[in-house]
Amino acid sequence: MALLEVDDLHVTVTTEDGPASVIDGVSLRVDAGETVCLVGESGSGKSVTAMSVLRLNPEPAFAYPRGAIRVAGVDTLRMPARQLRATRGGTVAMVFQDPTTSLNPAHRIGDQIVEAIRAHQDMSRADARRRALEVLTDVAIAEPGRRLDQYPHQLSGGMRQRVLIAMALACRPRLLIADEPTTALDVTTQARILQLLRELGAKYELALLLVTHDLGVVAQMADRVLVMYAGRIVEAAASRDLFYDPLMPYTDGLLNSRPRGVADGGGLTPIPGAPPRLGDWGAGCRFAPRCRLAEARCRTEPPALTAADGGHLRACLLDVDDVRARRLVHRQAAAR
Amino acid sequence: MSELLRCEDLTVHYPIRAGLGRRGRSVVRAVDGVSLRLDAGRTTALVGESGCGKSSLARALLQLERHTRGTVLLDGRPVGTGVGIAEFRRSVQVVFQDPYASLDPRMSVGRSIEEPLRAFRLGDATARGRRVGEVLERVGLRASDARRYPHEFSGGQRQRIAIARALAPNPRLVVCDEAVSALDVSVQAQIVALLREVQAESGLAYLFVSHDLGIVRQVADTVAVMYLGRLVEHNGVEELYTSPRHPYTEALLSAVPVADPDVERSRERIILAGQIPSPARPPAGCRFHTRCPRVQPRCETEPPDLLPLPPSGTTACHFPLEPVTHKHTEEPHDG
Repeated sequence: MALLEVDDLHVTVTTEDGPASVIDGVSLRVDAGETVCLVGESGSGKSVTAMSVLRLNPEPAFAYPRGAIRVAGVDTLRMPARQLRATRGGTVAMVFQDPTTSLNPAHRIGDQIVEAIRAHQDMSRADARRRALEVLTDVAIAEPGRRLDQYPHQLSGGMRQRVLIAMALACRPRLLIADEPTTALDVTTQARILQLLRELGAKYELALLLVTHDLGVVAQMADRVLVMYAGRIVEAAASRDLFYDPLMPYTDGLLNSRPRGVADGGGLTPIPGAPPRLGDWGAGCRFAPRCRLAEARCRTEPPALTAADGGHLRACLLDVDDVRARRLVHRQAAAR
Repeated sequence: MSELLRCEDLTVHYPIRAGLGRRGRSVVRAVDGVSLRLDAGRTTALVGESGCGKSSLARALLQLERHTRGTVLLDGRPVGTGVGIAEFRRSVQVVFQDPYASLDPRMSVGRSIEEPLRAFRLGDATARGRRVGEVLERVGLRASDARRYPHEFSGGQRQRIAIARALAPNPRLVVCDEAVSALDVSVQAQIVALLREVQAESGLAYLFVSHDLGIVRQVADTVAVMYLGRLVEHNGVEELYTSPRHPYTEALLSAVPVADPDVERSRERIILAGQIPSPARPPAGCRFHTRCPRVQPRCETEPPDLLPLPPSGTTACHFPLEPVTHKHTEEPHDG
């Protein structure tokens, strides 16, 4: 069942020159028990998309002129404020990149979790504290009873992120949105947090929307992957299909920009140029100015996101088999 | 290979306050007795997790941080006595992580790049202007970009400008402190390619400080691994990645996620228990013993020395991992 359904989302932001488009027709769905990764570089719109689900982009600077976001069938973009507040941290929970700024330094960990629970559920303080202890145990924090009475500064970065995951889980959400949850952490800590997210996702049958720029994290976590570029989804596929058979030259370029294995010293092929600035997107395919394969029509004609084969979607005007053939030739040339 | 820069027993301790306004006796041992040799024309990577002391070590080598103990030598001559600080600074330049913070927004790009040349009194105004144009073109920008200001450039272009500034006085060593970490994935690969081209052309050496083991594999000739202020392993890049000898190196490599779902689903990770101890109170014996999956009683009391370990490299471990056989490429040389 689709727990989250984003349908033709458009988001604008107010600039000195009037409203500029940041998200331009994004559609996606996340089912219960499924992990979907939203990948892209800075400015691609991946975080704005994630924040739109709970309308956390600061309004009125950000506006939603078109589209719908349905959480368990109800449109959050048209929800009354009261219902939206109940959804935030209730049905849908979020975990952000920086565990330090997400916690209040002046309050004990336990009090912050208890407050989050009581904001959503009619529960006594004692019961809420018991639930807090339970979720701290869930996220594998040692001596959870003692941690409840500690302040954020007494915990390490990895432990703070566990506390935030615990807090997110406290009200039994059905959808968890995690925006770069391990980007600020060291690799050994990251490995533990990702493992934890996988275990908890399975245990609670969570729908997990994971926003990240790290293709290694995607390979480890994703059932399905959505690649964003300049405010649009440019490719969407099951994880293996995307990694082993990328059908949009941008995805292929992204994969060639990173080593395939830890011990892989086989050279990287960068994508020339830089991602376009906000709104500076041109008429045709937004990746065309950096694309090796671009043809004249790519610069004028915008490609739609269409099915290549099976559930594999891509926004590219070029012929699928042509893209495949030229990808192989390019890989072989790079290997020599 | 000839030695360029070397440190011996380099130690950086920061005092920490015991209470409000009172200076306590306690110190953070950010870098604790590190000896490392950097060769001319080669890239040495310094890796480790946050708080391991890699940036403190880099700053101490750069003479940006006063060290508590130890010596830094350029061409075998101690910096400060054998080599003047001006000569040292001209020979050793740095590129930092954040190109937004490291360029003065009110200074034109040309003026920023010219700054080190003026400081070292290299050439007259015409020669300096020519050099600015040269290095800008070297990093893939136009000589005419000298008149523009940092805000007109993207993050990747700004990092190119920071590299141009480092190259301007013709240094022999450039310290890259997380120099590509803040950049987008597609841009990172461009900067890595640029650094390699510059090295192939001018034969300068890099000290590449990074937490990103995937990128390090692409740029380094040798890799030094730090944990809690100490070097735990130093070896040729190929050897270190295919046959880590220190259990910490092995765990670190196994934690790095790779962009391959089949590999990710089948590989076994070594998940380290516990937290990194505080560098104010490092554990006795081997500093890694509190988290080491191979710990023995001896590790709790006796600190291991960084010693050569056949067939290659140096390792600080009483019970190192067996070598995986592979072809021999290169050995580092430690002071």
